[in-house]
Amino acid sequence: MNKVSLFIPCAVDAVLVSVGEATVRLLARLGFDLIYHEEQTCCGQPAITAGYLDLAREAARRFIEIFEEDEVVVSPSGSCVSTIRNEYPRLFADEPEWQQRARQLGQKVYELSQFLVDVAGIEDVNARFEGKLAYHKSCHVLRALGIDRQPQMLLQNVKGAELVPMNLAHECCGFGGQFSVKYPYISEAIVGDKVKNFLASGADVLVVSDPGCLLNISGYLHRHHPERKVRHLAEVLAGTI
Amino acid sequence: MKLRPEDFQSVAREEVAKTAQRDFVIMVAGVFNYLCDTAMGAYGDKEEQDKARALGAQIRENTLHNLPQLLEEFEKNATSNGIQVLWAADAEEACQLVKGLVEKHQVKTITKGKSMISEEIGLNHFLEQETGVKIYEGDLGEFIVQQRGTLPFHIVGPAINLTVQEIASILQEHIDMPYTETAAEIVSYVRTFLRDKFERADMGITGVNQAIASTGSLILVENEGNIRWVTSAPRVHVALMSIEKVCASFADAFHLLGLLTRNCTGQAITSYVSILNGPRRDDEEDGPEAMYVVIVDNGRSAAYQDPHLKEALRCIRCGRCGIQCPIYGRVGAYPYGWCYPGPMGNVIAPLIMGLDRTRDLYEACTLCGGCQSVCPGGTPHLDLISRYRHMKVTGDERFGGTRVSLKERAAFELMNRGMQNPALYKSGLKIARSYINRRSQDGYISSLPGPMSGWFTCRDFPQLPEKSFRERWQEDLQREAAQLAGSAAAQQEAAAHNYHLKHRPR
Ligand code: SF4
Repeated sequence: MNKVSLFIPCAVDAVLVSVGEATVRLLARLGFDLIYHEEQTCCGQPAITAGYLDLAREAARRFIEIFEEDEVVVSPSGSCVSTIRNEYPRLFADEPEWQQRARQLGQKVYELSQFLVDVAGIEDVNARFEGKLAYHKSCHVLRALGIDRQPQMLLQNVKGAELVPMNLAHECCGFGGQFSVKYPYISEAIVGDKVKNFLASGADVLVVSDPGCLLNISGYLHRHHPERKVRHLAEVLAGTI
Repeated sequence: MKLRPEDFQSVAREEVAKTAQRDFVIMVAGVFNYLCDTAMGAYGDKEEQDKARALGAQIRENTLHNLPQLLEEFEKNATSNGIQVLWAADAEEACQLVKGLVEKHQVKTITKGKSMISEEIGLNHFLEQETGVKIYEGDLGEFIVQQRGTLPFHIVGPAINLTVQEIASILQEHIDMPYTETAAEIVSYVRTFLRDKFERADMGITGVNQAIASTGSLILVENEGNIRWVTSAPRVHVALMSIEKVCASFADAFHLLGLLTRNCTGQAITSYVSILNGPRRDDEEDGPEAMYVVIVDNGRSAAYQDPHLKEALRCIRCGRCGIQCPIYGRVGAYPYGWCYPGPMGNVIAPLIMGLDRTRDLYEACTLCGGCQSVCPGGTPHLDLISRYRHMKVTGDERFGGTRVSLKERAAFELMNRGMQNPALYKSGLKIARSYINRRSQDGYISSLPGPMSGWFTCRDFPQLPEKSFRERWQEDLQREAAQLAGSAAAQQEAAAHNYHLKHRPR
């Protein structure tokens, strides 16, 4: 009975499809039976951060109804998992019944590395990569979910790879959803520093665990340093770099 | 130049372009973060540090829970210590009260200890205009900023963004200092200059770090000794505090101060800690003849009425959130247009200056949570910022918010509904794909007109794959996954790891 329900965020569904594929291959290869609810859509994070809480509540109810029967839900996005775990209960502060349902669901929704290490007890996925890796500690993974050790442990156990330290690895990459579009001049300064630190780390690949960071950093790298790579944790672990 | 939060964008653009300043601030922030982390190490490992912060948050919670009672108790005990307690509803009233004291005591010269609340109410400017007294800031950084006529760059390092050359020029221009780039010579010149003022001052004005309700005492921390001087030498001492700066007991205050100094300068305690229990008594040699505490509300009690918004009053002004903030690190203090820059300003300014004027403060945030993770007062920055965004959308009139336009709302609603409806989502994605991919070169697009254009000032965007994940799943991924999971190797994996899904709620 190793069923895992996949929560594939919209950015992965529409843009970063390879991250979704890597997640599938990784989990399947580890013997998990995957379920994917085809009616799933957006979890409502953009509505929450923009302040449209009534719209977010609609999205949240829908999400809860789709996923609440699952045994465990796994997603390759820390910020979307944090939305379910941390934001949903707050959204329903005045609706105790929904809040209860949100809490119950939240307890079984996991970010990928958190699921592998904390729930399934897997610290080595038998991946291989020849070269140096640096890990960017995506904000929601690190601070909203408190996940730090898990992704690094998985990366350390990738055969042939060396996990190298990176200055200010814990600092935001400057994405912030709407922020990157509304305040591009500030966002640029932040992502520019992130990339500087990546280059200085000497790593071949920068690993992130959130689709937002991936879009932001890869977009910047493609413009300024097209020869450098940033990849999602799932891609490194699935060996699809 | 008078800075205002409504000019955030234009000022931020200018500031972000100063790359040398930016690199310097990031470097200094790194050093301070290191010092503060090291100092926090005195509490023990990460878990113990979290406990210390949690206790700080609890003390602040108690204060907010019992605020009216604590203030009354403080007033009663301070009064019996001979301190006169005055109440000001807003900035104007606070300034008028101090002006009244200046006139009553025939004050000519004022020296000051660094105080954020006096910056908040614009006291220096007001008194100089209205009374003609001379005011001298006693803190070196604040003194430099005062001469320069700008906002403090950071609440504990007001002039941290200025180079020694800039400082030398400012002091040469304003206090006739012979130009020197030697820090020790600058300090020595300012010291001599200020000592004379300290000796002649009739009134000292300071802020308050914590007021103790149970004894009616004030505690002030500093490193330069100027506050000690300002509170003991002049005839009159006026301390300004905002309503939330009170706590129940000395034990509470000292825990908070331990967190404050560790998160401020990375010190276990500052070089000077002054505990003031009233004016000079008959048998004492030092101390002011008269001592006043002005308790300033300035919009805080309106926030206090709301069970969620009152959380914005937890701050103890350590400034740590600023050095954690990626936005503050790049744009500095000036865009915030007020004396509280960075995350601490993002949460307090909207409640005091109104949601409309401060829109960029709570919008220019990536919600990274760096601030919240270090805050010793337990300020829920992210929750507050999300609330302000929501209050803007709905037009919360209590705090000067105008509802967003119907057009803006309709556009968002349409997009959101589209995202929620699988059929609409699918057709929307199709349209977006063909629109975006038409512009693609080598798998990326480098510009798009319209609301997304900001993205492309420094970044490209990948073209959208011909098939979405959902489509890939339906087509063959699902089958592939089942095969992979069913393979002998995977089954072996599964058996070897013997997975048991133990749901561990966090
Ligand atoms: S909000 Fe918290 S971290 Fe920021 S200055 Fe206030 S007490 Fe310090």
